[in-house]
Amino acid sequence: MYVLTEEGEKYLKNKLPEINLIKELSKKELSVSEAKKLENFNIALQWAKKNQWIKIENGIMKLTESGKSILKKKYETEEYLKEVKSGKFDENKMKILLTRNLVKNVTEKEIETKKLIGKEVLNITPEIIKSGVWRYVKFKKYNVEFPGKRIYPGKKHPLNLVFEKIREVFIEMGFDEMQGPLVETAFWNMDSMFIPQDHPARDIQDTFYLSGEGDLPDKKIVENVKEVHETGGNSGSKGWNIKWEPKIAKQLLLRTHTTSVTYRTLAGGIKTPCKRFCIGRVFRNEASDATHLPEFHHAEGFIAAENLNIRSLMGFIKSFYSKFGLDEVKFKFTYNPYTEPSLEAFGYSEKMGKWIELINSGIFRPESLAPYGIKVPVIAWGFGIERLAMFIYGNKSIKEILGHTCDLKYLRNYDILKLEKW
Amino acid sequence: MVMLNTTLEYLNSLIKKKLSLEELEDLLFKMGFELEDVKGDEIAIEMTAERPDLLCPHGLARAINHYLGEKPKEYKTKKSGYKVIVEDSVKKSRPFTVCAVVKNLKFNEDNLKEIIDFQEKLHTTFARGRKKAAIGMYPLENITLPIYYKAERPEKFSFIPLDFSESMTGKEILEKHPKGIDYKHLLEECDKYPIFIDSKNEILSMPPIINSAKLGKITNDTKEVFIECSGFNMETLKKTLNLVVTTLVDFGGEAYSMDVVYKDKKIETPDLDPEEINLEKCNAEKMLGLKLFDKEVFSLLERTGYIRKENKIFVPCYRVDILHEVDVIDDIARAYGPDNFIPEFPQVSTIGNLMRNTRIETRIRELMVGLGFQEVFTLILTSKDEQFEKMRIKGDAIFLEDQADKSINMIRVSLLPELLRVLKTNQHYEFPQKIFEVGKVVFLGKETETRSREETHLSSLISNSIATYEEISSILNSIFSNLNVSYRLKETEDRRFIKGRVAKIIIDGKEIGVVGEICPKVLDNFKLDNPTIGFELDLDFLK
Repeated sequence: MYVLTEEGEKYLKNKLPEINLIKELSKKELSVSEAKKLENFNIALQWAKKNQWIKIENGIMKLTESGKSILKKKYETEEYLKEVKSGKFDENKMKILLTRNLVKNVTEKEIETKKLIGKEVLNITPEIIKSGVWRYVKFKKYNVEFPGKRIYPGKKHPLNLVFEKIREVFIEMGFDEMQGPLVETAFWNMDSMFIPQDHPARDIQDTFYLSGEGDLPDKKIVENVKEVHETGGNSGSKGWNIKWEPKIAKQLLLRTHTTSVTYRTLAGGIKTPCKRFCIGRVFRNEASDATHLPEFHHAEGFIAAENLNIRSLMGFIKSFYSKFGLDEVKFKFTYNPYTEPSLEAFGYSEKMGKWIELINSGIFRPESLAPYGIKVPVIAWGFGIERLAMFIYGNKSIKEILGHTCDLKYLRNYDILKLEKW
Repeated sequence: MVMLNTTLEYLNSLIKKKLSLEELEDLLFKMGFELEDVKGDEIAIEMTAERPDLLCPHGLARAINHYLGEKPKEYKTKKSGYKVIVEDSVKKSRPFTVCAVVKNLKFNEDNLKEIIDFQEKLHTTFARGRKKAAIGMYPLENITLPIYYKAERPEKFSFIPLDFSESMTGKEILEKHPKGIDYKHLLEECDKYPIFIDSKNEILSMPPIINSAKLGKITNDTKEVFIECSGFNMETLKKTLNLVVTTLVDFGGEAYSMDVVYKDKKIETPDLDPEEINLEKCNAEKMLGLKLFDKEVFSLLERTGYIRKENKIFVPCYRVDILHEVDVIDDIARAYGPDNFIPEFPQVSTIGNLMRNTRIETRIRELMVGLGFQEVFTLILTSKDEQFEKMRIKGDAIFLEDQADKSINMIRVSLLPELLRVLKTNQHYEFPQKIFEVGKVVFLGKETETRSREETHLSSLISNSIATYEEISSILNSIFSNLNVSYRLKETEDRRFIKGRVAKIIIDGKEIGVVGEICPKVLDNFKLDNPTIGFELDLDFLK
């Protein structure tokens, strides 16, 4: 709606400047220099001229015929001002008033805002600020000690924060990322790393086998792997002394570890020194419980370079653990099918006051490298990420965070700095 | 993982030095094993299938004694001259056997239980469920030599099996005897079943299933035993026999060899001689990062049971896990002790990089989080019911077989149903619920190496008392503008969504996903009450 501006109000009260000029001129003629003394002369002159009420001859202002008659008629600009004042207005008539800045278009809000003057106000609004009304109101006091309502931001998944941390550590240490498929052939999941074809880990109790057969890689690689399994080939080993069956190696399965990715990388040819890492989902054919799901995540890395030994492996794991706040480390020998020696690494958690075992590691067996022509030592280690995550976040059940059973309340509220505090 | 269950007292009776529980735990840890559980006097030690020689208290005690400094001894056999005659008829069922006799045994309750447990552990681990090798032990006293190993039609012979009182045919044993049922798969394909039978035509056993109750039961009174091991691979059988015979020798028995007579050859078993292995000291030093004196190497090897003669190293006959020099080096490292190695950070300088798709996925996740969505991780293994039936669609996928967890039967092809399941679990929490996932889905891929094709999808759902198409299409708009990708929505029909409120997402003329209001029938299938909107798309266009 429209209201009169301060100027509009003034003119409504004191008449418009051009009318006042005509009134003066109707008393007597005035020279321009004399008339300049009149209030708002410039405005008066502009509009009197525009309305053709006056003409100026030799510096003397004279009324025209219409100028003479205007005092007897109603002046429409003045009529419009009256209408606006009375609250009625015609949109079409406003143009002239708007041009002359005699009215302004205001919102209901601005009008309401005006009414607040001198009162106590609850909410501060843009109108209160813009109109300057804030100068004349008092703001009602809040209970500022009330903690407010809990709202839920978008958040990354807690496991994802652990993934990011692991990636960060690997990258800092100069490792290149690698990836590989979830559905694998037994060849890449087992045979390539010298797991014998009758190894218990191949049982259906541990592995999800899928129907059908996949393809074996390059013939030369397959020949080399077959030979190393059967006789040890040129690896200096006795081999497993059992016939190697391509049919078993072709079996399709869901990868049981990310070591399949490592061996795809090794077989693909590496330039030493080489450091690679992988984070990925792996599968085990078991019934689920609080700490186990049939699928989880592995992280693993390897270094292939001259002069690596068991002490380098220990040294690396020690640095890796310290990145996760486990400064004290102890080792235990173990047996893995494709590493020798093999070490389990325990880290001491000050926070939990106990040794926790996360990493399994070792030096890859020569039989697992010979088929790919790798002659330098390769040290490798890996661990289950959920296990680490459950230590960090203190979850009682993995199902609370992973899978459709996840607890939205937990995900909305978990401490995003847990990793830094751990 | 294999457990060795015994008592501290029994183990201590076999060890030269009395160990406290703490000392034992510490010693085992150094050797690479863990004391898993202690209940009163009973202890359970976690062992490994790679070391079957340690799966009985005597075997573990032998290793501990060596570790504590006892000099390893060589096992010897005397010639018995006893014969086992192998007939050609076994060729098609279980072609080989190796045999031995042990005399002067004194069984008691403890060691009788020990040898029977050990036999069972060998069967399940090293012998791969009796497939690779089956061990039989019999009191020699009741057997009339020579012994024959042959195969007969299963309905043609019968004997009283252990734990039964009536005679059964070979066929009946497979059908009725608990061991017959358990190991049926190892014989049922054969026309003839193998048996050991003595010169009086008394059947000793039907390997790999069961012994005869009459001739095949060892008791406390047994002084001499006949041991046979049958299977398919001579090397495996010899090793298995050695494991049993050396344990009986450690019980105080004396080992005697037997002549196993095949049609084309005669062999004398067991062979308890240690096997020479070539070890280059420099290889050990290189692998362990140590400088070692010859004397040190010999002493470390003796502490892990190796036999030294002059400057040669021999692997004891009960070790089945030494394939390569590195296995010997591993034993040197164990004897050296894990705590005595000084860790050294490897100075290998390389530059690390993330893969491009990892970086892209991280940015997408950050954008979704910025749009107020909670990230979830659902499982890749799911069921046909969730992925297809509840979503009112049909489709093909990679299905599972023989899964232990019966609630799953396929690999997911879509994230949406899994996100709907997340909502279902969390119905009692505050709304709106806004969730998303970036994850892999797997399709059949006939032409690929692994017959599968993976895609990385982004999917998201909003569930609230009011949730409209406009809201979710605005989210999409925001995603694509932040990726600087132009896309188009094209009205489509999709049974998962409400008709007229679902569109295909199209980039460069290619359909990459779908967006819309979830159909109330689908919501009902997932037992959801609130209106739910969402989308799913393939992130491949960012590659």
